[in-house]
Amino acid sequence: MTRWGWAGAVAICASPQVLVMLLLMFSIWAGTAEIIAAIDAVSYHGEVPALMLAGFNAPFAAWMFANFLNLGADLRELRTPQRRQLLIGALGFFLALMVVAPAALALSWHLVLRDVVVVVLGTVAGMTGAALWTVRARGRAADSGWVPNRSRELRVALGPPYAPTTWRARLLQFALLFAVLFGPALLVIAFGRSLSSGSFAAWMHAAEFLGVAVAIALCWIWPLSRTVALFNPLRGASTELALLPGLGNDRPGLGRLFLIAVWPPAVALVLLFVIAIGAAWLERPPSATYVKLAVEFSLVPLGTLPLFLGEIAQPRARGGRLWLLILMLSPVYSVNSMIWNGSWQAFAALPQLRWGGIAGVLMILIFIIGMSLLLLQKIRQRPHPFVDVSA
Amino acid sequence: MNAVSVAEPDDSSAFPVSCRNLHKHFGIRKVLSDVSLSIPSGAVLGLVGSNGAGKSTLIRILVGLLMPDFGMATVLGEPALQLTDAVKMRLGYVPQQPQALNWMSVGNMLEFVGKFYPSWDREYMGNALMRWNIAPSHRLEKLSPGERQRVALIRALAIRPEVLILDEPASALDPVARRDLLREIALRAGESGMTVLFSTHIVSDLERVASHVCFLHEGRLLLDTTLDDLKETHVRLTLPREAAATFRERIPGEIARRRRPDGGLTLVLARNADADWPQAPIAAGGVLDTPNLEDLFIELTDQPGAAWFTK
Repeated sequence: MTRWGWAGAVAICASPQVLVMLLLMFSIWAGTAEIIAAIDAVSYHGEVPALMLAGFNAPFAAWMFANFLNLGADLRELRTPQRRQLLIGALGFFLALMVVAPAALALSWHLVLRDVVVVVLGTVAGMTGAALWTVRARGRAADSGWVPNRSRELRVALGPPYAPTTWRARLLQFALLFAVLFGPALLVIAFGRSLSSGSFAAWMHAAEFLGVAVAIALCWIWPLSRTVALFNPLRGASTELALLPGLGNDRPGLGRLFLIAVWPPAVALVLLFVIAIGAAWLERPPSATYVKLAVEFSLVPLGTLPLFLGEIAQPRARGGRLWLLILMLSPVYSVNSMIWNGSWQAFAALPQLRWGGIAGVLMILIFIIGMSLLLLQKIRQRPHPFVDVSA
Repeated sequence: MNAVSVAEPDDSSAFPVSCRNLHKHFGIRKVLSDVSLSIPSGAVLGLVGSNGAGKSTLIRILVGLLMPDFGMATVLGEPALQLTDAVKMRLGYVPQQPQALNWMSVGNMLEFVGKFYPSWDREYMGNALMRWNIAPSHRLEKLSPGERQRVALIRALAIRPEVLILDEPASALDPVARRDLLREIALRAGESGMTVLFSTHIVSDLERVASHVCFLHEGRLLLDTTLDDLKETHVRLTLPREAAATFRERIPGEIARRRRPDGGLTLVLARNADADWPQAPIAAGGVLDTPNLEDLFIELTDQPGAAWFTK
């Protein structure tokens, strides 16, 4: 049986990408162990490493389990003799690697049973995701005739990150996002032991800010700026698409297009918000922190949507995209610093300033909403999403 | 100074591609001015103009990618700004700088585009990729401009269009590929009666394949005629300095005049096919010759102080 276990392991790990991913996974396990060693010195926070391990293991488990499912399909297609033994061996290797090993690791860190279950659930979630994804992909492949799926075609037309891609590429994107989001904080935890508590806190906040800022740029600003680049007729990238039959040339088509363009970044932003709230909850902060977080995250769409709509309604010439990125980032983070350093509380202490501040914020809100509606109206006047109306 | 237009249709739907009274400004710059044009079925029309003449703007309006300030364009009987999917399936378009979907590989992009067209010619696509030595696995953004233009041409021709519109298709092609492209256009037009409009500033290309020719200059259509008629009905008249003083006023059939540095005049004359050339200037020492297309284009457009008149 051990022989088949090794054969199965070789079968599902037989690509350089898998080996690299495994190396990455083991590094993350080691990093998590470091974090536990750091926080165990203070008090018990077992749920932190358990959640982290479950979160990191889920994409790895999805990757490995999808490899296992593909191996099964290949073996069935090739009618390989003794494929049953090979598959059982491969499954055994997978379960040992992704269920037994993390559970044993969690137990070795003296985590309670509840936390070990959380770790295993991460693997189960990844397996479920991989199974659903594979079933869906096979359903698509089996469909030989082309059924017009405008949303899918529009996603392809919009290009990355909207375009459908392989689950491997998508997993890598998520892995990159998580690395960006948590990487700086993990580095501070790993190398900041010698710092005083004040310096450690400052470095930690800076790392969290950096992680969230880059994640927002990746999840929200990058897709929207790509959309802007596509719809900017002066750059001409999108105009050929207007003549593809089936992409829609009516108002509903325009609405569908913008829905597709805005929906994924919006979902990503909400997910980031949930992650930020979850991370904050683990530190048991005062309830005002949640409000600050909510305000910070609502500033992102409020500050950027009018710019995004403006770029589409009144396209700028080449080079406008970089300015757009800078403009999108600047208002959010200048106001953001005000929220976190508490300078707004000084305003709130004086009644005149408080009411003046509220009036100012309301005026800005009305201006932003009014501007957005005006720009939407302008965009609606286009006869086709890709038609240039510049004059 | 209006266009010397030979086709002013009453019923634009009778022509595969037509436009009437197009005007377009970009800011304060007038790009198109009262352009009317109709392309008969099966014609290969070459749109000639210098850089900035408005060729791309006219083409983008004709295929519905740009909204004119005034006027209307139709393709296969439908308003260009509201083309239905049925018409889009019969229309091929090659932009000057193809950019869409350039994150995809050549093969994937052609597969993706092919799904939209029931008439997609997979065999032609494969042969053309092989002939032009383009690997389907290459990403479009990694290709040279010439290769990208070839892929765009393959894409447009593989849909077996009834109307093919090309915006400077040969600008980034090497001479061999250019000849290949022109041969393909001529072949398709001859075999299937495909209507073709292509813009160029390489006049020799036009003489090889075009049946009709249009000169566009500073947003105005100076000429719109068949290539054969053009040679029969247009001449260049060179007047010596002594005779130039006698012909200060416009003479019958004159459509452009230019004063030469030696004080003489060069006129471009047009006539109806059955009419004679005016005899008075010839008697005064003027010399008539038939300019080739390039000379005619230069006489009409490339001279400071040149003037154009309606016929």
